[in-house]
Amino acid sequence: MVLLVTSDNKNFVVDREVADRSVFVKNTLEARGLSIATPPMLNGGCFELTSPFLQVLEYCQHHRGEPLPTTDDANADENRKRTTDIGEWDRKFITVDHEMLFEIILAANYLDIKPLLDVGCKTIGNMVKGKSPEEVRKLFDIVNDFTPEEEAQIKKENEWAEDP
Amino acid sequence: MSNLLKEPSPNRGSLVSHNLRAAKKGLRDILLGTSVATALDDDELDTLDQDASEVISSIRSMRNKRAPINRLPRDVLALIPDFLDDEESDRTAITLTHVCRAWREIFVSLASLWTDFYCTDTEKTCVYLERSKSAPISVRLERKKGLLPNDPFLDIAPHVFSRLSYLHVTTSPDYLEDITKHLVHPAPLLRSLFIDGHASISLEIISELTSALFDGDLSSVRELHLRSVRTQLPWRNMKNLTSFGLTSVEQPTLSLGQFLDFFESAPSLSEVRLTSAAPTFGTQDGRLVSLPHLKTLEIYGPQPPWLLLNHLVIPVGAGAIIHSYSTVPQIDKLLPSSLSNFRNLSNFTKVCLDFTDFPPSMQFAGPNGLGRFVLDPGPGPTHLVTRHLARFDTSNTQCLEIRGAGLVANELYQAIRSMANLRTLIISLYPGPPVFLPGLGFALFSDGVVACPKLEEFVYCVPAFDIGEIVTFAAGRASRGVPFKSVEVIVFGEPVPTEAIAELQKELQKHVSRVEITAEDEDEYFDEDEDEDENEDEDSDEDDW
Repeated sequence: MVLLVTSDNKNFVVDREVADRSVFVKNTLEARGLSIATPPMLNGGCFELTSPFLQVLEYCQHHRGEPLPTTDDANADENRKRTTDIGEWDRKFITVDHEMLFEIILAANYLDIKPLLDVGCKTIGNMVKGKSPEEVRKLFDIVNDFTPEEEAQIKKENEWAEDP
Repeated sequence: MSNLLKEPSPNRGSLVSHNLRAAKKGLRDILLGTSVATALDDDELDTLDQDASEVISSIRSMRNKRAPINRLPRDVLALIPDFLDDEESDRTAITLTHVCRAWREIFVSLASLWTDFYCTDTEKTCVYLERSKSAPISVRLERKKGLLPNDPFLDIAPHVFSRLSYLHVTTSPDYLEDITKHLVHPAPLLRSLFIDGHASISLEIISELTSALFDGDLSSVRELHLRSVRTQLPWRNMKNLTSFGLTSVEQPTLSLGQFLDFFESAPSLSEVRLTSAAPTFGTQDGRLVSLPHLKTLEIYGPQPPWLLLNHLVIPVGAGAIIHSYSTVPQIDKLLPSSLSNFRNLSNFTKVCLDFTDFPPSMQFAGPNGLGRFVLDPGPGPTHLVTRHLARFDTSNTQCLEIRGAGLVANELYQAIRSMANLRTLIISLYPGPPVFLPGLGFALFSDGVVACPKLEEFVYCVPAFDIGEIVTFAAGRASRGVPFKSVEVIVFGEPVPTEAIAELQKELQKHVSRVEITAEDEDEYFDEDEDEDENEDEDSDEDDW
């Protein structure tokens, strides 16, 4: 078992198998020689995490035991990235408001949980595809901050962007 | 992570606000002064206008920094294009650079986003080349009418060969040489080369791809696919080639020897696809060429494939799709004279005989992938397909699927009997010959031998009027100590009363531990079947049975 402490001082005791979904947690525990962390040693693993941790924990528990992506296989990495499909459970899991989506992505990035980071980025990719820049701005609460000169360049790019 | 979310400290924010307010007041005082309009000339007004635009843009950029999505670090935002569909990635990449200044900076500097492009416009091409920095590039060149004097490809060609990783040329026969004469410089990073002559007529004017292509050195190439081109396959150092495809539009001009020379120079080949290109002459060559990494071999066309096959050593477990649509009416004339070096094709784990379509087909799947063996005998009896099955060693076959009505049951029974490791039998007979299953049951126990002792799973798609047969068949297996572990029955045709289904379930459960029975509406059965056929037509490569 491993104790994880969030930045708002909430404690979570999780199975090592669940905690190890995070490469960051796994490496930290291993570096500290806590490969077999037992309840009396709970304070061995202490990480600053914010509220999306509950969501991340749910993801890690659901996917516990699944093979972790290897970092040394370039082809696997390429295949991982190029798949735009999201599994049904993951799709439901990631159907949250934008605020929480970005928090989950931040957490996945910080904790180095690649599959979850992928799910988050795929979700944003799916939201963006087929939309115009103006629609993307509206979607993500962004304003057009280009100067007139930059706008002129963008207009030129749009002319050849329509080519196949 | 919390550091990433930090806002500017209140003191710093107050200072910025204070300075901005002071600047704004000063600017208003100056601009609203009555003498300004006459004191400034046009150039100065333009400069002021520009400065104001810059300030407004900067203020908007500050606002954008507070947008929730922009709390994501730039390296995370930069991951998003990795997950775009290929079809839309080009357009979406450009869209991403048009959203705001911050995104433009992130995505313009992401070299991997700009490495793959159609060479259509000089300015576009230059933008992609610049943004892709020094990364290997993929270029698609589509010129049905050849290269124009000011073609963007001519502008970039000298600069791209050293970075060229993928090149796909589509042109017409008239202009093939017009393009390939520019592909003469070494391309040391070239991994994939696709050339499509796109010819359907004017065959006599197709120019030949010679060894001058890329200075004669294709040793870095892993994928080489040539369609509607003329070639003598002159390249002799194809050590990295794993995928090769050749589609001819005329009578094959390559001899057996030329193919064998080429294959000998490409020992890493794992996929070979020849369409109307198999050699028909050069029979004096006695070589056997080994392709130890071969996983899939596909040969289509009217030319009998045996001349080439008899000179290839195909590894155990390779898959094969061979579709020979000869007009020769008798299938025996299509069969290879010798199967000695072809025998490894028999090491398949799954075999399917499909009599539902014309032509009847044989499909073999090995542990390394799916293969299909199709013989089109023209008008002729289907039993010859079955007879052909008997020429293969099917002792390793674990799954047999029979679709449609194989009318010469006895030869089929004998073929099944020889499958000592058969575990799964799938029969979807339509229309079902009513005596087929009893005959099979009898054949499997003839001569006092229990054939297919490992057979444990049976899937039977049966017309409603034949459902009784299955109980006899299952009972026969059980009484000889080789019961099925699982039986799935799919009943189609006339509606079957619920009571009859329940009775069948009850009877089968006496002999089988897991029984599943579903009744399928006849219309649904046909619709589903047709859908499958359509899908197969659309993309036979993905045939997934």
